[in-house]
Amino acid sequence: MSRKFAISDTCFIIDWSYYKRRECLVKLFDIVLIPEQVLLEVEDERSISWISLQLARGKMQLFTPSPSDLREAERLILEVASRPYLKRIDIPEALCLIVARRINAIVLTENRGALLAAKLLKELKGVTVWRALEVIRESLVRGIIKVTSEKGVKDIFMEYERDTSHVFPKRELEKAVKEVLRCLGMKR
Amino acid sequence: MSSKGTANKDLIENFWREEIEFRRIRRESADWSFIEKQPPRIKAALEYYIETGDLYVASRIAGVTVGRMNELRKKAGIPNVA
Repeated sequence: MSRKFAISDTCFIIDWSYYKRRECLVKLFDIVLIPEQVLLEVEDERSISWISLQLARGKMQLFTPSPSDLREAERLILEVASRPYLKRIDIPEALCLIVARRINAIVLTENRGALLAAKLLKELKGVTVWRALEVIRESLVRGIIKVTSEKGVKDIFMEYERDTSHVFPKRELEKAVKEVLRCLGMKR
Repeated sequence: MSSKGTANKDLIENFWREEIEFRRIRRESADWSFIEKQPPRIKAALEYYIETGDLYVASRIAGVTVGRMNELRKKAGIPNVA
């Protein structure tokens, strides 16, 4: 059976480590890869101590990109920049997209440029990008976070917003709540 | 235009509409008196973040790590809209 990998960029993991239910991430995936460049950008105690603990437990894995990964990421940055309808991406998310494509991992990022590029670029076909919204949705659907009511589902998302100074887009949040309720067989 | 082409066009239009909406949320939530008091690089970085929502480039403008930039974002009352 293949193991489930994710690869995280900095903006995702820094916010995520402030979430009180942050452990659900390491229950959802077998291994979360943390690129070396990402680790260097984390400096607050709460984030770095949690990430270090997960690295020690083997739930996270330090990932050192190869020179060819970096070259490929640079090429992707320029490819995205050459298309005016895409939003620019930078090295952290480009690297995640390239590695995810190669090893069939899910990209964890809040970067909207990466989200759009994965949906529109042929070369990224098959690459899945999850934000905190999708990670929480999946944790609820798979019963990693347990709830018993519609209000409970909404509260879980709101909790993340409070813990991390985050705002989920209203329409997408409603869609995610609806999806969770459908999967859990709860009526609205 | 094929149905796939139309779907992509809708996706792109919706994406850029959301960008405008999310920028408005960041701008309206920001604590501008905090931002105005910051040294030039930090102030420019926070303003850049409000415009784009891009934490990595904002951190390079400020000359700090992404982690430190995220702390500044929170102190400035700017939500991460995504």
